[in-house]
This record gives sequence, structure tokens and C-alpha cells, in this order.
Amino acid sequence: MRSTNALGLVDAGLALVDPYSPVRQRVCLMLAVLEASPAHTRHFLSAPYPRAALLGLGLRMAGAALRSACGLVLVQSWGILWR
Amino acid sequence: MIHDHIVVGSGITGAEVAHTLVAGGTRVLMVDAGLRDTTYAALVPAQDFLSIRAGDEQQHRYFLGDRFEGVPWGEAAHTLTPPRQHLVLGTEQWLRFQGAFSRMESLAFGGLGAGWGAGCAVYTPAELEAAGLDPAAIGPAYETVGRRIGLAAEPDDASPYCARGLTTLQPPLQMDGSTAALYAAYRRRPEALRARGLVMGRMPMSVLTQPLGGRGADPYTDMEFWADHAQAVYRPWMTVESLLHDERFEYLPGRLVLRFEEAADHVAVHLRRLDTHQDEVLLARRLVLGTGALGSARIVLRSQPGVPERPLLTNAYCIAPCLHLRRLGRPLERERTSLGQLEMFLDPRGDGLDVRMVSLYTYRSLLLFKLVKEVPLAFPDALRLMHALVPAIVLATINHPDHAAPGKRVRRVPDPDSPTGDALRVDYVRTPDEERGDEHCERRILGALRALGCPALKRQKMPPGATVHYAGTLPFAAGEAPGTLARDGRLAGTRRVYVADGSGLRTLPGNGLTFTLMAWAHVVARGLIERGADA
Repeated sequence: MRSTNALGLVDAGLALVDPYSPVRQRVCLMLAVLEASPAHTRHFLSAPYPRAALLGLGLRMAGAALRSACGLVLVQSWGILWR
Repeated sequence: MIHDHIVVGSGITGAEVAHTLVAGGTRVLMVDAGLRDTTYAALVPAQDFLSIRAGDEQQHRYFLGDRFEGVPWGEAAHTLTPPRQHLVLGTEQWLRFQGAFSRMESLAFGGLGAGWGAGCAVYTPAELEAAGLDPAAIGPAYETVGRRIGLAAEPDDASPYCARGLTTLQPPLQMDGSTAALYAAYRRRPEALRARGLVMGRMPMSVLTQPLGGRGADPYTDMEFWADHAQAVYRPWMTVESLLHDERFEYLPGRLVLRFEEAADHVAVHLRRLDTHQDEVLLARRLVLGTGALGSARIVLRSQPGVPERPLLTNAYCIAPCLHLRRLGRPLERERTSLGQLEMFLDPRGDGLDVRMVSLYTYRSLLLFKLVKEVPLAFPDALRLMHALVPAIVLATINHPDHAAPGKRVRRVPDPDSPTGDALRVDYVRTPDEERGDEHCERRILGALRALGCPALKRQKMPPGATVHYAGTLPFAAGEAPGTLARDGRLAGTRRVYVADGSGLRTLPGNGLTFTLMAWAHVVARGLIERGADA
């Protein structure tokens, strides 16, 4: 859990099997704090983008699906640790 | 001292009753818990949402809350922004509640009206009759109340379902680009939706688009859920504040009404102070309850121990986030409103009964993290996805009507941990027939949205009570059956106690009850004036 890479996979796995877990709650809280900070506003407010960029988004989502699959295996294997 | 009228509650109905009584020349004492927001209201700048986001270092205080109370977690039915969380202050302590029912009550100054979405639907005559209300009395009351609070609307296809008979209207609110494009798609081929029993249009909104009295026009800052410096959106506390300047009106805050006892020439109203927990008694010639269907049930069940458990009505509710495909990649404009943009009405049998109301919202000012946490992906991936999609998201909230059934009951139960010694217990189960009907209508509605280029991404059924529309606990009935109301709002078994909230409704239409409750409260008060205090 101290590894940021592991946290990403755990988050992805929990999003499928236990979306309201305490681990995700902490990540959500950090996200909310960032969103309410003027320095990070641009990451949360929409900007115009071309339709073609949707292709890039699609590729990213393919990667996200892969992360979810790996995270699911991780969480199902040691699920009790994440509550 | 015996007061002419004691009005309980400063919410939508209490404020309307008090205003009508005072305007009719009678004296009123309003008894209210009257809790207020003392933390956040002054923090929110009078700027638009994007300017605040870019520049206000204090925004985390009112967007997230000092105790992060603005960061909801779990499948919460109600998510109040921090500046609105005073609406439920003290209710867990003073208005104890049991049951798998998502109730929201308020002890705040102005009641739940401070969180109202401002939609002002006029019920159809068929709906009024079914609910037990007199269309001949309620119709003119709609117009009177609407003229006072200010309504923004214009005639369109939806008017027969939500604006029938209204004539004094301000120009409608401007739709944002996303909703305007959706409405344009409907206007190109309205017959396609009409063939499915659906129409689209704008509901009257109690939002000013032109100044009225001391209130200003909506500045389109997209901040309606956080602050309203122009006072463009009507709230009942505005009425109470204005009444404070009238010598015939007196306001007594910090009190919870527990019960009443009727004597030959007066009603004794038993109160408890919220600060010292001391009990007090006030006397009145007439008592008018405007405490909401649950609050009035609580007071009546305490005051009339022989009254059995009561029925309860609430609108079933579903939220469907939809993706407006034409708007992908096009952000929402700076000047917009966060309020409901557009409505659809589904009249399943074409008879004006059991109409489903669909409110369409676009999303920005409630912050992105609340959507991100609902996506079944890791937060960074979900953030990227929603960052791209959110300008094209249209939230469709579908409200269903409700009818009395044996599985929908409220009763008073002992609670030793409660300062009042009791709690309300609600058991609420919709019938299988109702579930099937709701499912069928939701499919028709979402099919129509798909045909307009706005397919649903998911459909989330909310728990019972989530609409915060409660009614029917003391239904209208002929005779003096315990726990019912006469057609003029008088509580059966009493001569001096009236109920001006939604307790009397026999059915609950799907298209928002707030405006009808204001009209009903006006009718109750007019009746009291016409009969005179000693009648």
C-alpha cells in the first residue's frame, strides 16, 4: 500500500468490487481537496477539445480497463486487507 | 393571552399561511425552531462559478465544508452543499426517526424551502381532484401566489402539465447550450415524442428574470446551490423576513411544538425551548400546522393518542445520467444557471393522471469529484473520462406519482433516547404493480431521450423518500374519522386546528408538489379569514 503503483491497482480493483471502501474514500477526499484549490482548477474544469481527441481517450480507457482487471485480481486475492 | 392565530413552521406553507393571514388583517404568531447557517453564507463571493474557481483561496471552506461535510460518501440519497447543511441541523436529535426511509426534515429558518429546486408545477384538474383538492379554489391561488413570488416561464408544449392557467409570468430562464440543443432537437420533430405520450418544455420556475420588489434578476452565475446574493430564487424565509416589519406579525424562534390540546374557546400549544429544554404553553384561537406531512403527523399523533398509524406518500425517484452526443468536446458556457433547465412529461394514458415528470439538468457547479467517485474505474482514469464527458452529461431525474397502499405507513413509537420520548417510524414498500408501472415509464422516457441523441449511461433508483416530497399522512375525508382533514384543512375531531401542508393529499402527483402546497396554504388561510377568528 505504500507503493503508489499498488495504490492505483487497488483503487481500480476496489472501484469494481467495493466502490465505497475506506481506501477509495481517502483518495476521493484528496481529489476533492485538489479540486477546491485554485492552483489545480484547470484539471477539473472542461476545456474545448476536438472530437479526434476522443480516440486518445478511448486508448486511455483501454489502459484503464487493463488496470481494473489487474486490480481486481489483486483485491480478490487479498481483499480483506482493504477494508 | 390568547393569540388570534398561531402558525407553526416558517417553511413553504407556514410562510404562505402567515403572509395571507397578515395581508387579510389578522394577527399571527409564528412559532418556529428557526435554525440558521452562521458559518458559510458570508464566505461565498458574489461572483460566477468559474471566477470563484480560478481565484478564491477560501473556496474549499464552502465547497467542501470545514469538516468535509460537503464530500459525501456511500450511496447517499441526499447531498446538501455545506451552505445548505443547516437545513437538517438538529433533526437527528429533535425529530427522531426510524425505518428504511430516506427522510429529510428541517428545523431551519425557512424550512426545506431553502433547498427547493424552484420548480413550480401547476397540477392538472384531474390530479387536483384525485388529491382531494378543489380545482376551483386552488386555480386562482396558483395565480395569486405566483404573482407574489415571481414566476419565470412561457407557454410551450409542457404548459398543460405544469403551467395551466398562469398568466402573470416573467420571461423564462435562458437554457444553456447543451439543453438548448436538446430542446431544438425536440422542436424539429415534436410529433415523434408526442406519439410516445411525451412532451418537452419548461416548467415555471420561482426565479426572477426581472427585478421584483427588493429582489434582483438571476445573474446566471451558476452558483444557485451555494449562494444567491441577488435573492433571485424565491425562498420562504424572504416572506417571513418581510413580515417582521408588520406589527400584526410576531416571530418566536427556538421552539419545537410538541402537541396541542383543544379547549372550549382556545387551543393550548405545548412547546419546548431548544436551548434550555424548558416547556412552555401558548394559547390561540386557531392553530395552523405548516410543519410538513411528517412533522404534522408527529404533532397530531402526540395530541390525539387514539389516532392509529397513518398512511404516507412520497414520489419514487430515479436518476439517469445521459450523454448528449452532440455536445462532446464543447464546454458549458460561463453564464448559466445550475437549476433545472428543461422538463419532460409522460402522460402514460393520456388522461392527465399518473403523469411522470422528468427534470433535465446539466452538471458543473456541484464539482467533478462527486461524479468521478461513481465511475467504476480508478480515480485518475475516472477523472480523465469525466473531465471529457461532463459537459455532455445531462442528468434526467424521473419522478413518479404515488398512491396510498397498505405497505406505506407512519406511526409513533417510544424512543427512550429522544428528548421528546418518541420517534416516527416509517415502513414504506411500493406495490409490485407500481414497480412495474414505474419501470415501463422509465424505459419509455429513456427511449425518447435516446431518440433525441442523449442515451442514458446508467439508471439509479433512489431509496424511498429521496425526493423529499412527503404527503398524505392526514388525508382528506368526509366526516370526522380520526387522523383526517376536512376539505378546508380542519383536523377531524377538532374545531380550531388546521393543517396547511401536504398532509391532506390523497394521492401525490409526479410533477413536484411545492407550488401546489403554497396554493393550498393560501386557500386554508383565506378560509380562516372569511370565517373570522371567533367562528
